[in-house]
Amino acid sequence: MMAIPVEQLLTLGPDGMLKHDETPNVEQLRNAKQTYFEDVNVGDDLPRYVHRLSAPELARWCITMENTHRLHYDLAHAHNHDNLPGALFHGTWRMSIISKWLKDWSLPDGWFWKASWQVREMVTANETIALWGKVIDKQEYGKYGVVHVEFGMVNEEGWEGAPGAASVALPYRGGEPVPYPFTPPDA
Amino acid sequence: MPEEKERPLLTDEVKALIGQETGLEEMYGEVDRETVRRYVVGVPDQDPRHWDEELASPRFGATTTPAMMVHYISNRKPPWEEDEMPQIMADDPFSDGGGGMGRREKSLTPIRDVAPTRSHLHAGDEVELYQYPKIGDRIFYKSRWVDFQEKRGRDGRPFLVTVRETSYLNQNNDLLLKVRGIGIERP
Repeated sequence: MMAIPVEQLLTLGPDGMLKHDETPNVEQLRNAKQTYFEDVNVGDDLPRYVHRLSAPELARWCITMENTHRLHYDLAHAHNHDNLPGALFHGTWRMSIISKWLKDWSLPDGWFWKASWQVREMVTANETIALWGKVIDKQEYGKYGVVHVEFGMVNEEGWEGAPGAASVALPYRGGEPVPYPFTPPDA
Repeated sequence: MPEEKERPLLTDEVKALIGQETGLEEMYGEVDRETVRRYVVGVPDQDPRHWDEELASPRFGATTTPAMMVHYISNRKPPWEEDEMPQIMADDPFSDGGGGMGRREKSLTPIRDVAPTRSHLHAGDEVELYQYPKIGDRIFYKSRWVDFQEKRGRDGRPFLVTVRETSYLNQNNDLLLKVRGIGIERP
């Protein structure tokens, strides 16, 4: 909950932004400390994930999902045929990073339930991106609480690339883990 | 006669696709450790719950997967489908992906079969997550064209906004994930 404000982050430049990356490593995820519903307040920031995209990583994502869409790896095609500023950061990769980030925040006993987002500004290889999120509401239900978050993914210029909203279920302090498989509160 | 790039896109043929559904189709193969490994590395989402059974089982009953993985793998091309990529590229050397590596059979009618579009952009998503698939699970999915809208870009040229909804289930008919994908198709 101590993430640097995104406005301040953007003043640091790409290299400075990377120093504020809070992406957990394997052991931190293994030993993830639960954020309980009671720990969260409206206005809180979620952990900041900061990453510089590289062309090989764009290619790696194409390989991972068997994606032959050339605007992600064929720079000449992206420039000359599609009038794009470069090889594009995938919408599907944004989708996976956002889902991972919300899941990580809920570990070990919460649940990333739902989200929606738009793919907005084009982001290309060698840009640095920061995933930000802020708690905008929270609601108590019987066995768990639901925290509502607005989020986005800005590049080093501050351009918003994935504005969205999400709902994450968190356990109560001293309560049971959020039910798995997940049962929505209105089910 | 207007140029191809300026012809209206939201034709009666396109509108007729709204509401079209697939049957409940089965993914080729099963959920396997190699596919999970590929996504763990590709995102990357190195949560040890994705491979450490001892860590994951008490809560999830088995190892987990990156949250969106099932969305990306379910319509993978089965080995018996004809390879159309050489012909697509011969017909249109500027094709944006040569038809991709998704399954053609038993899919929704591709928008390009009825509209003169050649270029796809990912515009956003709405997702709801209920549970992860397990190793060895068979995956079933059902898709529906929800909506098409024609809009015009800053250059005055038309493009189509497409909305497709897909639900993913396991062999026990448990709902795993629901995704509503929004795309942009351009001439």
